[in-house]
Amino acid sequence: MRQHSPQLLEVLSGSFTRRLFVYVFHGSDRLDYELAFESWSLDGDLGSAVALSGSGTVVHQSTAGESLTPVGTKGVLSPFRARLELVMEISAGQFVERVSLGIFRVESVPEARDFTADVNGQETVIASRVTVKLLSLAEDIRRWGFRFPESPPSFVSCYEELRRITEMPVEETVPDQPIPASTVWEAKQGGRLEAVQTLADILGGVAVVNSVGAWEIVPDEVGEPVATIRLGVQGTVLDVGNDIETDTVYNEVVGIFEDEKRRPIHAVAEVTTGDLRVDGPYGRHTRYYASDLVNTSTQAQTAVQSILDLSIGSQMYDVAIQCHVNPLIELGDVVELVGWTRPLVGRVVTLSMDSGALMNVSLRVHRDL
Amino acid sequence: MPYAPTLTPYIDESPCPRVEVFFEELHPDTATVTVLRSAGGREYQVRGAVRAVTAGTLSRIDFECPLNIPVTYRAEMFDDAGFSLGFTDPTLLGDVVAGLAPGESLAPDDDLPPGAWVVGTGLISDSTWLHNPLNPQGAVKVKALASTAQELSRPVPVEWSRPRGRRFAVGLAEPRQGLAGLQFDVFAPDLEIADKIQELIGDYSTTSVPVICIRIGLQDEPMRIPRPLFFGTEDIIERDINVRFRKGWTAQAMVGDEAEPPTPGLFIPLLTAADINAFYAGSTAAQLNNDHARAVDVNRRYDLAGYALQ
Repeated sequence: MRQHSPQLLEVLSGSFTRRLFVYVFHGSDRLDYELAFESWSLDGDLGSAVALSGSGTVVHQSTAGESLTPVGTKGVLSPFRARLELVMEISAGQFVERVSLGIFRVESVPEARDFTADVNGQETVIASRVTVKLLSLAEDIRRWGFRFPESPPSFVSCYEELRRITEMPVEETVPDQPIPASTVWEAKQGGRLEAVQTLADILGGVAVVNSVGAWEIVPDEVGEPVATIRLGVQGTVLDVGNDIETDTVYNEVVGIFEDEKRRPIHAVAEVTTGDLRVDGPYGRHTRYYASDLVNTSTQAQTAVQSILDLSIGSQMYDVAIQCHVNPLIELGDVVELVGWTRPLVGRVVTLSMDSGALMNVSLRVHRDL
Repeated sequence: MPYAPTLTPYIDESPCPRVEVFFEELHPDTATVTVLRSAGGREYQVRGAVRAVTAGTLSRIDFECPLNIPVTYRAEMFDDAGFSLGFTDPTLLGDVVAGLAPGESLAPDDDLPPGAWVVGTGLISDSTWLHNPLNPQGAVKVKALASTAQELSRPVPVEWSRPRGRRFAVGLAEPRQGLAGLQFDVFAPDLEIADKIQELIGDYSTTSVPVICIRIGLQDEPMRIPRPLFFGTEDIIERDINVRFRKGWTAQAMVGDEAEPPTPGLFIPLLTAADINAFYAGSTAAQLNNDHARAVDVNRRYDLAGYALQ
């Protein structure tokens, strides 16, 4: 969850005024522009390699005839140098607060146009309109590869290695772990970003660049909620999806293996109690499983049982929520949905917001069986 | 008073009423300045003086100064790293008093001495003036028609949302906008003025930004529009009153929204180097130096504006 004052939470639950603008950075220098951003959108998906992407149109009224249209590698909004910080300003009467939505790399400029007029007999730029596509700073790491295969100089700390290979700040959100000794980073396209995700796997999560431009690990398990989305009197929710899918819920696993002499081994595991029992109203849903690594009947029984546990044990499902725009909610936050038919706590796995007044998030929630 | 500007109003019509804002002295570290004009409760950047580069003095002609109201000018000074050095003291262009002894000036809260009287406030003009901020030479003096500014609308873009379980709608708004859909109709008593009004937003050979700076004169008061109003309009529709009867009257009708003044940093000079060169064409450099103690004095020879074209 992004930083905020306590009052902002109250303001966001009622009527408020919002405004979005962008700051331009070249390296560490912030340029003297506060640019309007039109028709913008920002989409996040915890499952993709570069988690956040966006687009929008920068509209700039020229102060002294300057243009924002990139020319070659030069220009204020040139994709070869510019980083944009998206800032949302929330106000309600005297209350004003600005929330940074994060710093993004300008990935491409699909469209740019200058508007001109005659001033003192010269054609002068009056305004520029530049459409940009944005990617999270993880894109910097995706583009930057290793020169040759290398192994970590120290296997003690995943975070130290994350700092070393990304050269970016890292926020330690989960306990540190040692790196397995056989780890080697490959020299290939996108290898460095894969290395980051490997480290995140060791730490038990997914690595994302958060809104202050630091890497953080979003843990796999749903922890304590940091944000609340409400329904009811103070609510902001317009719609909650209630989507139940049973296609991958198997209650019977049949294993077909071979022993060393290529004689077949059959092993079956099934649910015999509870709502998913095989003779119950759910019926049977069979999954077949084969593996070369299994060649005794004991191993076969263990294997099918573990597949069955995986199938019914920790079910995750996504709940789609449409609510009023809330700039505080970040990808990876654990959010509590209060006031719905039953309490729900889940991790934000996708998020999309745009110039409209509403945003869509989906929460990944555990289902108890 | 440190660094307060000297204001000199010009009420002649070549091309339109204007104010010279002259900063004789600025903070020694000043590299750039932004001059601000406040009037009628709003503050605007002065054209040509947005982060304008300076070497200790700055002189600008402000064609956008609203008419007949008190106007205050001040400047924010920046050093060469772009950090603010603070504001200069402001100078007020207030009541204009006639009948004072030469050399005598009046502090704002002083009583009028005997024999003196107030002739007006600020930059005095009876007429309403229209000009394109990028071409003050095309300024035109007009009279507003009765249909002008009868409705003043400033909408708020808002979406009324009804979350589940809430009794009342929640407003998800964006900042309130300036004047929208303002009707501004003016009367043109002859075809020359009608042509000048039409040229405000460009013609067959020139491209311009269709933003017009509107300054209301005494004869059109009271009118509750911003001072000045930057009026963005798509079209100026000319309505014939009696042109076809060879009298030449037209009504010029505009509908538009309040707009940002285009390229506020771009200064449109009246006085050019060509004017100075033309005036001193038969003289030597020594003559020029003799007439002016400092370089800024040459820059302020506004009496020579347009000399090259004469």
